[in-house]
Amino acid sequence: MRFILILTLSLFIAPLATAKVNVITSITDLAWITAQVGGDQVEVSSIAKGSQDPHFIEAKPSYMIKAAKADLVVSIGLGLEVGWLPSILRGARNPKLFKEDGHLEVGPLCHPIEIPAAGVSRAQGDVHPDGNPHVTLSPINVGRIAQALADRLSALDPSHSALFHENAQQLESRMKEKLKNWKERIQKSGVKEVVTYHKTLDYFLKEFDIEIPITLEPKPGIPPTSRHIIEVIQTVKQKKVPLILVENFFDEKQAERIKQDVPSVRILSVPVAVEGEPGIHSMDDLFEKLVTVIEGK
Amino acid sequence: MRLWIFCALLFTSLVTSLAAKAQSSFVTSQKFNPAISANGLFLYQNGNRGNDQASESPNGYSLQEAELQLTSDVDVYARASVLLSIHQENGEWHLEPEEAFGESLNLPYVTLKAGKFKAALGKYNTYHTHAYPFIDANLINQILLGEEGLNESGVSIAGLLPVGWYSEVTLQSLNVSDEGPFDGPSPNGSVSVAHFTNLWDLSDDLTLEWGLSGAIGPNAAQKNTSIWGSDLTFKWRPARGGKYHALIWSTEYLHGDAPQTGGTRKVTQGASSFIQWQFTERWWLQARGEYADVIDSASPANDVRRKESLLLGYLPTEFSGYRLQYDHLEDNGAVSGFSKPEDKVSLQVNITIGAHPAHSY
Repeated sequence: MRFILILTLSLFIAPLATAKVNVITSITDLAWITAQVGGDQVEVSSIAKGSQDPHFIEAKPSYMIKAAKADLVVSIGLGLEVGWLPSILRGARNPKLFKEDGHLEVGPLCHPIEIPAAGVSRAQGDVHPDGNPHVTLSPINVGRIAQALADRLSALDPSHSALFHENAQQLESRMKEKLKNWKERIQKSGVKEVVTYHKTLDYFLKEFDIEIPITLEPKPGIPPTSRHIIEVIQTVKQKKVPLILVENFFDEKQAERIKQDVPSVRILSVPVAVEGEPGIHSMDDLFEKLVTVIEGK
Repeated sequence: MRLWIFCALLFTSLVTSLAAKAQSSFVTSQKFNPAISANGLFLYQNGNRGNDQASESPNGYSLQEAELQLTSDVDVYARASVLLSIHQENGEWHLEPEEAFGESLNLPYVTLKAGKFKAALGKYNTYHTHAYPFIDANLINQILLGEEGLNESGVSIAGLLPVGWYSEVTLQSLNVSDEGPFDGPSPNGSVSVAHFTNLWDLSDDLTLEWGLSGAIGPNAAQKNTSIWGSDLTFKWRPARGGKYHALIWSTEYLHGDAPQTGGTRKVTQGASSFIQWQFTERWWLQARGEYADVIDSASPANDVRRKESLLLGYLPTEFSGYRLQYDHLEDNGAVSGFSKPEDKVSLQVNITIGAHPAHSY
């Protein structure tokens, strides 16, 4: 009788004791940070792939199934996922994600840059009224996001709070330590200005005091026009910009046109997210890749 | 004197504090405003039947439809959406609620809905005019369900099934209409609708969606009209390079059976199949083939129609689109009265302003 009682109790208690926090994230960078902080106490998956433009993800119903089983959704906010994440969350019909603890937007916690000073209009392109949403591409912000995640995971699973905070602290320290090395290497490279396709790499480049004098997009979200490419060519020549980085979900053809006029400029298609290309499995890999590209190695 | 200065300072501080409070509550109230958007569809048509008075689509410019949509969470339990439509009918302008409903927000796996809404009958009946894959609705939808589609007041419950893929069952009970397939005279009559839809990710790039639906309700002859249909859609958009290329192939079949007085019946059936090919970031090329037959056992002449369409779409952003469509329609003249096929060219400008909610997948 006692054996049956213990067996019955263990059947109920065992799943509770081993229950992991089920997390769904909007982009792969957040999935990786969540996995680092949560360790083996979380199950995490990303909606967007690393090779996709995170502004334009289709709200596939299969994502709703993932979200239906989640305890927490982690997103950037700042308007990045406005075109697709609300549809997925509504379709998921998961009350947990509508609670205060169920949705963490990390963008506003990362000191957003490029907040428009005056009112915004769609005539300015795909502007983000609350600031540039590509916050994960800063090693410092990775640490900030890790700390916010540790707090939120602790609220959902208080028994592993110490582990979450320790993991977040380790990640933050590692990013700060590596940043010193990356800064030294980029300083040695002498690169002071870079042209990008979209304003994706602004947080990353700001960390290294690299300026972006112009983007290939005439306005955010608007593909390059012939007239604008001429303007880019003039800027590249005047400022002797050595490097054009094209986020690898954009077409490189427009940048190749610039090389015809300025043969000295290096044009490289780069990943801008974890799993954005084979071999990029972590934020460390991603930052290392970007630093190496800027170094010209 | 000191007392006056003290009073003046106190008054100034009070006014400043009240002004700050008023401003704060104004900002707060603005944040709770619904998301508001407006959509306009401007149309130019020219066809060989368009100058005839009997034509349903006269040549020239028109405002095809304008929509005003308001959406917001009501409270922690529900959200609401109101969609007002402005359109012309028989030369007169109408403003009417195309949809106005509330739906549950936080029930696990289930959505309850009440109000006036587009019925979940087939895949394309739930689409708004500006979201149609082509400028016009599919032929079988127009003939079987009417220009507005099946859109009535009622209640709905939709639930996700506990399987490994996306599988949803929707059950709805709707009022009978003044027109359309369920124009039963009984004030207590209702239309029952069931929809079963499934979506599988065949790979990261390819999805397959299959749906099955049915509806039953009273018609003007006080008999029960029954409709069933099935739809199949493949969507391909590569995870790498998906900004520039995509392919959609979708087919829908609908079949309606309306018993009439005297033992006769009117059977309406047809299908539409189309391909949409995105060949650059902003350009789409589309082709559609469709047929629809109405066989009325009480009438010697059946209505038989075949239609082919080609469309070139330019979509500079998700807020504007320009579409040029060519249609070739062959019918036996039973309803239209025309003996020659119709050839028509249409140009549509589709603009959206404001915070428009994302369309479904």
